[in-house]
Amino acid sequence: MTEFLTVFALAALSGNILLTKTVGADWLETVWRDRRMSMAFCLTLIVTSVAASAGAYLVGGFTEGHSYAVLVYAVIIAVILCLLRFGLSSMKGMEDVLKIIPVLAADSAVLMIAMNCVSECETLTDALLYSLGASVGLCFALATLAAAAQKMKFSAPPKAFGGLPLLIVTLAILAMAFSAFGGISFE
Amino acid sequence: MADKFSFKRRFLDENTLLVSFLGVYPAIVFATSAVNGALLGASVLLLSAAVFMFASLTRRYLKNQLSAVMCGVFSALLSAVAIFVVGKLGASAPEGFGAVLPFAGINGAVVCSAYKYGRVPAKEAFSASLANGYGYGFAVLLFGCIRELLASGALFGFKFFEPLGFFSTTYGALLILACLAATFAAVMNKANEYEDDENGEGEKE
Repeated sequence: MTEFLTVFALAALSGNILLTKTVGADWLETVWRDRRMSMAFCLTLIVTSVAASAGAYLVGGFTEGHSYAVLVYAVIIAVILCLLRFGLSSMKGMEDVLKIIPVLAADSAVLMIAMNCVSECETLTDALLYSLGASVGLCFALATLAAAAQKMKFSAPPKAFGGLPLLIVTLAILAMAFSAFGGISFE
Repeated sequence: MADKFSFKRRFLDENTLLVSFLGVYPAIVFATSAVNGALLGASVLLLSAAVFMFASLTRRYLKNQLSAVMCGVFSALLSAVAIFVVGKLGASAPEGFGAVLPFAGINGAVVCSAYKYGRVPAKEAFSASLANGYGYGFAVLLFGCIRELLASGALFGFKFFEPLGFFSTTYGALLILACLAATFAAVMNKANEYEDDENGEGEKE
């Protein structure tokens, strides 16, 4: 149990892909404008990441080290997104999730989680836990930034810094705080 | 005149990195120097041209979400080819370039922009891809120059001051990006105000 929690916590905190590498930062402005969209993004991201990581882990033995690995992982992600699209298109109230699919297709975070699973995880359980931890960590970081963005609406920054630049500064400060989980080096 | 405004809109008003904040990860990881920034800009320009054309040519067969998904797969295919070529080049390829190529391909600066602006006739898609690539390339080159200057204290081999190690980290790079985006926004606001004033005076006359 402790081992499972460690894998999850490492992926979500010290290895947080948004706050340590800025992977997945592309959608700060797009996704976090309303609450329904944010929820849809988080759920779809977690499902896609876990499924893509499991698929990538299963084929990883054949593809690792080859130049076509990225294509195989992208095809796995595409198949999962297509299945989601066809599965959800007939259901009512899923319009927000369908809008998220193009975003996830261009999201390097899903690809990076899958690639990390192949290179770092030894068992399928590890891969599933890592992908779950990494995607939950990403959603947590995005939610924190969204909360900060809400607060910023009531502040009066210099005109040029309003909006995105101030959000990037917040992201930098959060990244600085999270770097403490993995140690700081200025090399 | 219309072309000028079209270029201005895509290159400046909707700059991929500094306004839309797309393609941040490759910029932070790879654009650590002016040369790396230029290389990343060039690779995104080439990928953009190909993926925008793919989005344009398949726009009648692939609708909405499927178009974005297939643009992602096509971009990954191009990345795989590029990784293969970089692998064959071996030592002559820039250090770390192979590692950033998968993410240069699968990123919003290429795929999401192609899905948004590339689903138009081929000629328009091509010009949009050039504006997209030039805009990202210009921003990432500027970012690489500033980062190299601050993190190593030197630019193009000329040493100016002692290195500031803070700016070689992710958060240091993010602060540079934030300042660059704010400066860009301030300049654009001034330019738009000036343009509005000129238009207003023109209408009065």
